[in-house]
Amino acid sequence: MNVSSLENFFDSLAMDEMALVFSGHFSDEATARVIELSNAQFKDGDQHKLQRKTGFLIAECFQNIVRHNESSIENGYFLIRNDKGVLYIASGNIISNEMIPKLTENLKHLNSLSKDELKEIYLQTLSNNEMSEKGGAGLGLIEMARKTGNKLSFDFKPVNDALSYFYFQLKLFTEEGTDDSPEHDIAHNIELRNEMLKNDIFLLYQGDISMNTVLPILDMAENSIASRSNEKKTVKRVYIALMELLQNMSKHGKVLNGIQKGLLLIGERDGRYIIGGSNYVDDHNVQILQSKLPLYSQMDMESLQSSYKFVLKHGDLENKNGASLGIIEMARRSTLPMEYKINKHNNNNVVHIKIEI
Amino acid sequence: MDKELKIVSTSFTPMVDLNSETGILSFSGKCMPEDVGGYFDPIFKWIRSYVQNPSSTTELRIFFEYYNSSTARKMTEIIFNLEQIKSKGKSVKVIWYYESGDIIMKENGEEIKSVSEIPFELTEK
Repeated sequence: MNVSSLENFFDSLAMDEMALVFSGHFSDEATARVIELSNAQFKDGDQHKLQRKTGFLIAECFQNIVRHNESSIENGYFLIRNDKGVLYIASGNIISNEMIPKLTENLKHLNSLSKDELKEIYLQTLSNNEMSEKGGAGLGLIEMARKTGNKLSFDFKPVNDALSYFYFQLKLFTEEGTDDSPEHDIAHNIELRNEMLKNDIFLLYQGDISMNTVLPILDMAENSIASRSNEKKTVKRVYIALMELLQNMSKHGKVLNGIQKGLLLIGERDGRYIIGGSNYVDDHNVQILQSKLPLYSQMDMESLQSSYKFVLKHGDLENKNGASLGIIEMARRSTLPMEYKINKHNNNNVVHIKIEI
Repeated sequence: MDKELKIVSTSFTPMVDLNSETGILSFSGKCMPEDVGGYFDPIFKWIRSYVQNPSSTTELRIFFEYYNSSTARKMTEIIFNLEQIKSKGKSVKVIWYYESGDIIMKENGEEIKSVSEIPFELTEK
């Protein structure tokens, strides 16, 4: 991943109100953090019911991935996107090819049922106590079909002779009477996953980056990095760089349409971690960044260390908000020179920063 | 000044316990508040008053798991404030704890030590 791929992701997701895509280690902890991040997109009060429903569906999708993944759990994937009033919740996991006919039949059957019929079959299944071999699969799907009120989308992509990748997607309208038109069919989200795979990205978050979301993002990232790396030093280094990047985005981001929108990507290849952050920044802060980023992204490690020490001792002499120390911290934790780009998106300044550890 | 200033920890701020009788000032946990100024205000208020009439020995005990760069600056400012105790002829030192094997927190401690004018010990926990 380089700065221009960061830019491409930012552009292609800019219209989404929120997007979170995660692949890797699925745990209860990760479920809780995803729900927490998802909750940040809902307004307090009037969207409470929707928030609960979404939380339920996220948990069910996670269950699906954990329970039905035939191969290593690391191959699972989860997505949630909010695109102009339509919420997409999707999961992906590897299944054995023998499962495909039965699963297809099941899903098609559920899609053919009315609301009342779904309720009936739900109650029947409950009382029958009829569980699939892996436990509760049938019930989970029925519950999801009932909660979304929309058809379930799915697709299979062959992995090899024995296995396939199973994509599953739910659609939910966040506002009463929302039109069905903004059609993100499942192919669109499969494409997004492929783009992420190509760039080795395992965590993507686009949405509000503020005090409410920084901590759940950090927690999620820390858990996934710790599950990938045995080296405590690497985990800590990535965490510190990530924390500085997110806090920088949170503190200096520009509020547009009520949210401080930003994009965060984390990737890994052969033990090297890549962190990318893009966000809207107002003219004043862009000026500050335009003076600091070229300076610190070109400095060698020794000069970065002595600059850090200087600011530690004397404070940031130019500006009180302490931006320097954070930027130097990111630059010196990066094992390759920090990269950045400042450009415009719909007449707003966007700052992209890439760190590699 | 209150004899003691205690602040409970949160998922992003440390446990703080500043005690004017024992002279032990301790910080432990994560310290990454976004509004660092607001968070440290009551702490600085207490410390500025404490250094006027410090205990016979003062120990600043820091045991951080993580902290953000603005916190690093605040901690050095606290240390600079404590330098006044030395000129009053009383003893003062910093003990920087780090978890066994936590190389990053050890290195960070060494860095803060290098700008400190008061005795500074690094101790593995």
